[in-house]
Amino acid sequence: MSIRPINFNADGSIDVVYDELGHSGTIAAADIQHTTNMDGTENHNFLVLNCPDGCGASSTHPVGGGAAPLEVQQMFVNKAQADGCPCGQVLATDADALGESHVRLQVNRMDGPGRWQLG
Amino acid sequence: MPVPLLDNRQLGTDTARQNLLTNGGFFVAQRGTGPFTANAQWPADRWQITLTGTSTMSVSQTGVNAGPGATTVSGVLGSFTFGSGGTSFCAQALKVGDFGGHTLRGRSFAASVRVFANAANAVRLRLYMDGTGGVIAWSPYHTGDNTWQTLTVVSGSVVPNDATQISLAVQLDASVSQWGMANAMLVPGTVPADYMGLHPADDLLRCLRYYELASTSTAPMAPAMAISATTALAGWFYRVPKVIAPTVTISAAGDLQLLNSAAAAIVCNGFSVVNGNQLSVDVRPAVASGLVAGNATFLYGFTANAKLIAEANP
Repeated sequence: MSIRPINFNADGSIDVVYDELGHSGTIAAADIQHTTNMDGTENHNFLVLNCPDGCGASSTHPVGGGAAPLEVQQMFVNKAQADGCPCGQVLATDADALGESHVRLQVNRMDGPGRWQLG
Repeated sequence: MPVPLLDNRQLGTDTARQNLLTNGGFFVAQRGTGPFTANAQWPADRWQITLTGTSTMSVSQTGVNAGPGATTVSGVLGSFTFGSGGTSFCAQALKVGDFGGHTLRGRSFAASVRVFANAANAVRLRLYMDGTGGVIAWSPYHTGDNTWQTLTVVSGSVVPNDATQISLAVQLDASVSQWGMANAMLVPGTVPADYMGLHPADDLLRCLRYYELASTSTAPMAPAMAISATTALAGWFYRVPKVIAPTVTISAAGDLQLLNSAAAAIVCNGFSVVNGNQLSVDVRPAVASGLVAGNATFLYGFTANAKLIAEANP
């Protein structure tokens, strides 16, 4: 079981649970980070959630959704809308719809059409 | 004179047919045996809890006397307390169609499950399909007589062309201090089939399509190459390709170790995923010092808590 989002807050933070150990808590928006490639650049296909309990566990979620597709896709959309995308295709100042459509394209590329679970 | 062929509706329930479910026998429980109490948890592989409203549930994977002649088989047993608005489920959903889903559209389905309940009118089967014209069908309720009963349900129509999933559930409509399910079987057609398990290896392979542990405890996890004195690059090649790109979870970096050139342990102090897909993932464990760039090394568990998990839920 993964560290997965269960609730999205107005300030960009997310409430998460880690079923494996029964941990739960809130992760600040600034702590929701993309993984880094070998060259040090950010990889827009993955986001890391560290257990807020401090146990050291972490889950790396793919943009397709992995263990919790609906919640993880929403997390990527929120991240793109708030911060833009590290690939440069979406800026933080762009309309929200652009961020969502970019993430939807990423989902289709990763897992195929039909994987998108947001409305 | 030619022998007449039987069609589906003429089959007996004891005519062996292929089970469409994964882990219909409930004996694979890679996340542990529980008890599981939270919404969206998995008491056995591919079987997921849905809690609604203020209802609560506690369910564990265990041996139960639900087999033929009350023999022992794997199943799940639990309790359920109904809260406001709280019809809840333990269900397996089968994705239909795209990205590796089942080709089930245009067919009808029938299910049988061994079910236990000690309260009447609380526990029944639910067979659901979405899409235009999709329907929900229910079995009769378990009578609540403290026995294992075989409940059956048949879909009321065929799976629509735009359906994305069908699901088979035990539905909990009222409080029951003990309920259970075992030997679940889902087959095409309108005649349920008695449970017949796959070979255990085949059932495990089905489960690994969705959830896989690289290893637990101090066993080897993945071969790696040191790329500096403090960092290695390891490739975890999944035993079974995942249905979609999975989420990768580690228990903690300090639960893992790399080997130095003398095969001595160096405890990890960092861990990150570089890239991954349905087939494999590149991970980057880090240590304080002691690696030699270019050397081969190996990623092991270091503590009894060590876990590296891939989870793909379509």
